[in-house]
Amino acid sequence: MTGAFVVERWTTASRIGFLVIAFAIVVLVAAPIVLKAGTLDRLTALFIYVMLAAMWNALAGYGGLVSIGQQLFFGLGAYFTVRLADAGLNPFASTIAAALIVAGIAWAMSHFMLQLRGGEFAIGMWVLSELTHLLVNLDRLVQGETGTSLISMNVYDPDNRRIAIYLLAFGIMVALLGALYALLRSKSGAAIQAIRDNEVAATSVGVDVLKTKRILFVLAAFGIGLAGALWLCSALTFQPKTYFSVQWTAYMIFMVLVGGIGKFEGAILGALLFFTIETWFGGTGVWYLIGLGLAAVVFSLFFPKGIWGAIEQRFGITLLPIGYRLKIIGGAE
Amino acid sequence: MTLLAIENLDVRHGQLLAVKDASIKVDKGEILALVGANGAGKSTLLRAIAGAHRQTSGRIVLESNDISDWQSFQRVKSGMSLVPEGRKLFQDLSVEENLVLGGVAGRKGMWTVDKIFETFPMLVKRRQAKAATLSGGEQQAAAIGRALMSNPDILMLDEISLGLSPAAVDLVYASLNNAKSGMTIVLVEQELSRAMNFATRIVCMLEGQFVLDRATRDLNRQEITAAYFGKQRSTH
Amino acid sequence: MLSNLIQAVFLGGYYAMVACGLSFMFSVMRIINLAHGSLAILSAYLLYVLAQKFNINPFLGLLIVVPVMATLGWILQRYLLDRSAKGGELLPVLTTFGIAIVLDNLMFQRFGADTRSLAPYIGDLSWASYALPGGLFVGKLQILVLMTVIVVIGALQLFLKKTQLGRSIRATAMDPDTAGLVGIDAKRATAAATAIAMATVALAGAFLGMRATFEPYSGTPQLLAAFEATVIGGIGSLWGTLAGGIILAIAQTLGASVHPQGFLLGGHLAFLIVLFFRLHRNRDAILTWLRVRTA
Repeated sequence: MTGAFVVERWTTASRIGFLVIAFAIVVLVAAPIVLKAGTLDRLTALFIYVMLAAMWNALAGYGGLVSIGQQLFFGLGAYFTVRLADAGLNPFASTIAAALIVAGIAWAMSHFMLQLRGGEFAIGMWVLSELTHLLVNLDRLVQGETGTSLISMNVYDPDNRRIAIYLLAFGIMVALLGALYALLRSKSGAAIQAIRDNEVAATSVGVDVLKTKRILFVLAAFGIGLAGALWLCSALTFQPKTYFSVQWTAYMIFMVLVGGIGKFEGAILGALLFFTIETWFGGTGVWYLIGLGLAAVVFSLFFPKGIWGAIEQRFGITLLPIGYRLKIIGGAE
Repeated sequence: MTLLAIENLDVRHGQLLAVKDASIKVDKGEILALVGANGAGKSTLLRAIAGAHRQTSGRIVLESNDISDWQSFQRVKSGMSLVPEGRKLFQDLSVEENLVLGGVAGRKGMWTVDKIFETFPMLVKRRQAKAATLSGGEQQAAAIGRALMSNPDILMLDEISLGLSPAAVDLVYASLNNAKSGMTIVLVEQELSRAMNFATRIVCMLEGQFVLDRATRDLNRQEITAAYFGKQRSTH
Repeated sequence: MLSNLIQAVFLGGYYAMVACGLSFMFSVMRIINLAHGSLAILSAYLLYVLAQKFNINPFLGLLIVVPVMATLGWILQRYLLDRSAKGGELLPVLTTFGIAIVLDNLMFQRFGADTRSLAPYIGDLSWASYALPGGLFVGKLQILVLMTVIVVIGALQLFLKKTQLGRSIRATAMDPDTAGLVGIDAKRATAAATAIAMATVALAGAFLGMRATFEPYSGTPQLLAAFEATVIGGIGSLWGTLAGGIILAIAQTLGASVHPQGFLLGGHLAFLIVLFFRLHRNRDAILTWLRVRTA
């Protein structure tokens, strides 16, 4: 074997990828000037889906923590927003503050939830979510399943409010994706990837597995809390049943499994697919849900790497490089 | 008469080609000892024959059946039994339960639970004890007993002396001598003198290949040691 | 209060009935079947259809539904779970969750949102009760459920201990590779274990339908209660699961006596407290072990 290697992170595809992303950001920020109200609302929903998928992927795809209870953070994010706004805080500021509280709760929770393994963690989170749902129901403001709404939003003009929420959701989505991307490329990122590939081996080379998992757990809770808060801003009404529904986790699982678990681009692709499918088939109700469940079964059995995993394997493309590539220069074997 | 034939077998262990293009025939009634340095591919070869490790290419033929694609439990049914390295008893089950499970393949023959206890008397008082509580020698005896319970035509033993005291090894070999009557045996043994005392034929492996294969009576220690370290190549 | 406590014990028996299949599968295959609750609801619907359309008493109906569910379990393990378990311990979580979503919504599609019950098809059993001294009443059905779960758990234990298939299942759970080398068909053993678990699910579904009402999405609370009972009782022990079910029911009863909405809260809290203590005890055990090792 002759020749030499260079270690590189960027490929031509990924450079093009970055240009495309920069362009997309500019277009989406300017979009409210031309788009109709309904379209803006749908795009806001898309941004929230991307956040949910990216955060569940961070947890399961990188941390190896499959949770069926992420609706816990979605519901809590919305709940604390209502609570803080009711106490007089500006509703937009409430979303951020609520997510910070959610992150704090997640940090406390992580101390014993992260000791659970595999399926126990998955369903333990679900139990915790049910418990939190029941506790939130006890709040007089919420009035059980009757719910309440984000009244203080009414001071804003509906059109301006819609654009503000759209921009806020977009900004938060970009910030969350950016934060996750930075985390994965940082020193902890190497640890995270090591854990994803082989937890036992990672421990033996000195990776602090628990600390790394905790970072991902809290980040995911924070991001999903924000998503719940934003959903509330857009929908205005808070009914605990809708927010603490396991359906949200089902959506996250669908997006990540189909897109490509453990792939940064996969979660985004999954969210786009889910959004498209929802737009086309969401009206078919039950069959639509059956389709989502079936997709989860089929992908987990036959394509556990998802669509992006297949694309990467087939064409060797990485748009957002996280790892490094070995490139052989000179003659090979 | 050939009982087991290995033809051009390649077995991978991750990236490593642990067994390279290996071919060998074992006759009925032979006692064959596989010797060689650590990592020479002996255990991998045994595990491949038993079906615990899938070969990349080549064939394994037992009597007239091509068993290359059979699962391990099917190979047990057709008369092959492996005592794996490290004993691998079912730790939470009692000695008796381990032995009874050894008969799950349902092959008829001389071996029954009672006969095993007769052959390995040290196990008698541990009959109801959990396997995890046994001493190393007792565990080895139980593991051999469990393998015998399937009444195999060919018994394979992987590193049965490993981790045992010399006295315990003596005992295990003594019991094995009682048990072997007419059975074909392939064993991996690190200790040369034990291998030479017990086996009728010695095969030495080096880096995944057979480098020496001869009847024990035609061999001396020096020749084996030389083959062990790859100083010469010799076949019969 | 005493009366409430007695009711709680019987309710705990029902929880154990739902949980024992889940506990069995988890201890044998390390799979937590998230479709467990939905499969119990499916059994209840099957019995309902048999009773309503063909006039078959639910107890007789079990003669059909138990084998049907067992076969379904066999297929489930053979063609889905075996495959996904090969990809690590996380994939089965996703696969079974997907199955639960499909089942729930298929049942909704077929049966609609109406709640159903098997109570009308079992004569006076759903409400008849025995009077005990001291003015206490115990429902006949409740006694039947508790007796059944004790018999089922006892039979499962005997099966695991005394039969060759039971031993094979235990051996496969401990070390599937070696099981194969000994001559055990590991796939057959796990498929049989799932079939057995699903047979108990059929019983659980039957009792659920007789005791109360159900609708297509009732699977989730059943799954969660089963999981809580399993964890409280200590994973891997079937008699522990029975104890776990009873503790869960007592905690719920206590919760309900404190606050009108405290029934479920009490159960969840008991679950968390047990979990918390168990994890702490484990951590101490591990720390002591490490200290001994490094000393």
